[in-house]
Amino acid sequence: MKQFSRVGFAFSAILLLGLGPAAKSGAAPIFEVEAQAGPLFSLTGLPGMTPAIQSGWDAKLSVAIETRDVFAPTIAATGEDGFGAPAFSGRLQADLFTLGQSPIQSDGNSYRAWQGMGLSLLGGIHSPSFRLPLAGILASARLEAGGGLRATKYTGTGLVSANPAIVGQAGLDIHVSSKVALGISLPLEFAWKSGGTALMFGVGAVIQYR
Amino acid sequence: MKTRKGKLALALVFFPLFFLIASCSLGTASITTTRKALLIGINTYPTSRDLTYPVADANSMQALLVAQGWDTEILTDTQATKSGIQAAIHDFLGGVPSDGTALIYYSGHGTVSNPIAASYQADHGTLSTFSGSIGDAWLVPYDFDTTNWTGGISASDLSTWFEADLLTKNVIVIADSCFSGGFVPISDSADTIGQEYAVDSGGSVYSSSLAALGSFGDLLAANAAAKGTLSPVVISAAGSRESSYDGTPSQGHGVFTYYLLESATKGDANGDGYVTCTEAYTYAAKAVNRAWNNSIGSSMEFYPHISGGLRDLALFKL
Repeated sequence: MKQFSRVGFAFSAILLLGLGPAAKSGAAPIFEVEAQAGPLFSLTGLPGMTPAIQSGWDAKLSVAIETRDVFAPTIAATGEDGFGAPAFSGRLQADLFTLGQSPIQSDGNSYRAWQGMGLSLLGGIHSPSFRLPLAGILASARLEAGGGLRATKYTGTGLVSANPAIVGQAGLDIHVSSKVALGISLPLEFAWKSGGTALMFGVGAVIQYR
Repeated sequence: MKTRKGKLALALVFFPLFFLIASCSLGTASITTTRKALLIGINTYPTSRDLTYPVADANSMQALLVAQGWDTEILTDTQATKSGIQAAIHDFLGGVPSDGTALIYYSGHGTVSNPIAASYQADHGTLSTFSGSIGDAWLVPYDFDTTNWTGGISASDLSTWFEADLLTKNVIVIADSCFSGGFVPISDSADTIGQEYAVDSGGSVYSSSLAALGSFGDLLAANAAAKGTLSPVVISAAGSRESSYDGTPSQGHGVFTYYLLESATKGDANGDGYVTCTEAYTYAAKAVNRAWNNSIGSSMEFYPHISGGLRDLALFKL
């Protein structure tokens, strides 16, 4: 837990550092609201049991702040959206997910269905805009990582529990207007749960307003 | 160059998608390992009030499990002494190989180790107004000594016997008896269903879950302390401070066992052809609440419980 608190503190500090230069140089940070949903899978394992895949879905709602001053406070605007430098992004994300029971194994074991909600704090980089090959559509890519806390419940029971997790996501945003982007995201999460581990991964459809 | 980049982009997108879709096709395996069940049902006690349906409960569970390929042994009434039960665990369930499954089903009286609390429950029908410790939950074997209040089977007894005699970690314990919630370890979790449902049921499971989140730090600590060891999956008919009951003549079983048996045909929530312990519990618990708690007086309400942890075990096959 101590380790997790340090991770949370580090990301909070990065967020604040990111905002500082933006304020000094007068470049306004960009605020984003994003919704994401899609299928989710978990490679779940316990000591003494064969790991198995659980499948389900998740939905995420997040707010993010993006500034380019962290990486290039003096670079002139050259990119297609007005910026030529990569941007730093800090994101506060709320998650809602559910995973079904894993298939029964030959010895009768399986992993229980569970569902949960959580909060994550992520930091990462957002590429300058570029034209997608073939279609020529204006797009940008991003890569984010951070930590989160989850409150979960074993489906069909009254048993609730909580766990920490490392979270990350890679995404591709397609700019349909100056304010709105649609995209695809590949969320990844590693959770320590009930003495075992869950490596969760999925695909999310993204809608973003900035 | 443009085409190669395009192919690379497509590969980056579609490879993970293909992997995910392939993952979905992982199917349910047939259970090929040994499965043995010890069924215990006690109607008559030399020094306690007799019950009506425990032997019928054990017989019906045996018939159901035999039909599904389980190897079974049954102990009823005079056979179900403490030493008889211990010997059956050693001799019969001890033969289950390490990858097999051992099941113990018990239907009969349950009590608590504090005789004053047990007496209070018998007189008042509730422990909600009892002050002081109720002690440990006990299963009551045929030869239980009511005079000296000794000879009960505790969770600690079962744990010791399992450690000594069982090769497998795939163990299911089902207890249809009063105070049986005392046998249910919650492991990494907090149970939002009260141990005395008539008193603790309060609001919905959702509001209870939100209330449990008030102790988020404790839940994180419990999760960090969980070792992930494969402890038995335990299902109890009732909470640790409440009674379970014989059903109606038309049911012909204990209330909980009636719905547990029914779960074998109606409890497969995910449609994979198996009813796991969690699915059977969920079906039976909801049915008890709907059919019994909603029609009976609050002093006789009870709610089943199940142990915590990520692991589940198949119980019935459709």
